[in-house]
Amino acid sequence: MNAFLAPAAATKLALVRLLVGSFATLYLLVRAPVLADFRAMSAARFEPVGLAALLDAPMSAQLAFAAWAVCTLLCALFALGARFTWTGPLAALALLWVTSYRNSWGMVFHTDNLLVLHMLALGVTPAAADVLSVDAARRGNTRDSVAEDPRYGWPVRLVSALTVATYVLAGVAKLKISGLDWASGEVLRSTMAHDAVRKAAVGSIYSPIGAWLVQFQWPFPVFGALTMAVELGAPLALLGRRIALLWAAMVWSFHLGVIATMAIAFPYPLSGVALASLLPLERIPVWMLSFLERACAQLARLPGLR
Amino acid sequence: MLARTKLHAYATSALLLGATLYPALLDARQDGFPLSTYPMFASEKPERVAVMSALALGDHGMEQALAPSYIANAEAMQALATLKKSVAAGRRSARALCEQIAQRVAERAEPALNETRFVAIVTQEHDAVRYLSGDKKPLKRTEHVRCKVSPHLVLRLSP
Repeated sequence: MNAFLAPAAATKLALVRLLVGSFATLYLLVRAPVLADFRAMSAARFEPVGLAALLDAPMSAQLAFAAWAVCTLLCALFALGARFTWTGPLAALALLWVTSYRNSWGMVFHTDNLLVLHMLALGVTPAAADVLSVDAARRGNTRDSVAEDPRYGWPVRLVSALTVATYVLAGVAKLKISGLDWASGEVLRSTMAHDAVRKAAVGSIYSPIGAWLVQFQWPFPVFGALTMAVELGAPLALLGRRIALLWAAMVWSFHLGVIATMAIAFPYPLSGVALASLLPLERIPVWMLSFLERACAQLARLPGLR
Repeated sequence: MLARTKLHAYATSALLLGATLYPALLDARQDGFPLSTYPMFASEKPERVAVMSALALGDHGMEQALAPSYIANAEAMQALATLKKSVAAGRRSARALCEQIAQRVAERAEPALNETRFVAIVTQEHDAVRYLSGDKKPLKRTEHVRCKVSPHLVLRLSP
């Protein structure tokens, strides 16, 4: 059997589902002002992308809010692994809808893409709720009663491969647009300056660190080369655990650098959840897993989830 | 059972990975969602930056950049795109946006903006590095549209 289909324990896949679903739910709640409220947006600015391209005109503000509310509920059920055969794919599609709609107002953000891709990969994998879920509690499945199986390994590897793919694409775009010169750092310096001035002009938050740094040239070749190495070297993370851990640490530091110098937050990788599939989650303490299992059993007794 | 797992694994992976990587074959500037070429930060920006903004103008030279929430929503980049597209669509569209912003200024009645008489949508050109080192004076300024903030509305809604 090839490495992609190698058997694995159900726990890591379930933890990835729990983390990704929980992140999606929290993200929807915290970012509600821009994901649920479109009352101030002018219909003339509507430029649909993704699933929203099915629309000829914007939805009413009430319908957009209702879509966000349903999506939030579905993502919570996804995280809990409740009726996952249905809520898995539905939550992923609902999130694709809500984020498509949010990106349909003249500016495509790049903060939601990977989350949506991970939700889609996990949502069509019913095995993701075989343990540490409300469904598992209802069926009487425990971590010890479910044996290692190929069904539990490949979805985690797919999630990792999707993460890696998005970083490689960002590196390829830099090579295609600016060539190897990008690594010299001048493009990064001009981008940082440009971004800060634009934000300052619309009275938005910009990074004072970035504003100070752009006055010097010498740090930028280092930043440029490191960025290229992280992006184009991403596939190495799929070769082994240690290198995956090293790459995940570099990506996390890279995003920390982006927020410090450009005030641009990529909450999904910064939270660590986007990188969870690359981490040794199976090593988390047993008491924590037992706590999660007991919590799922309690939730499974609730009327709506029984 | 294993055959079913294999089919599920390969079909799902081929579809999702194929779709994710497909934009690599396209023009790198052709962005989309959720499939993207991730072109952000990829191209060099000129030293001279032309930035559009909405300004609150008042007596005695009062001038203040209005926050993105007055223009579209809390997203700075979406606010900038809204300004750009309104101005590019022509004078009527720019005036309509200007009036919407002026109405929001009046309705929200923020103390810092109480003296606002007009809202203007302007493009200002700056040397980016000089601007960030404190020299905020624009190299060039173009006013696209100016509209009045209704004083009655401000008075009526002010606490």
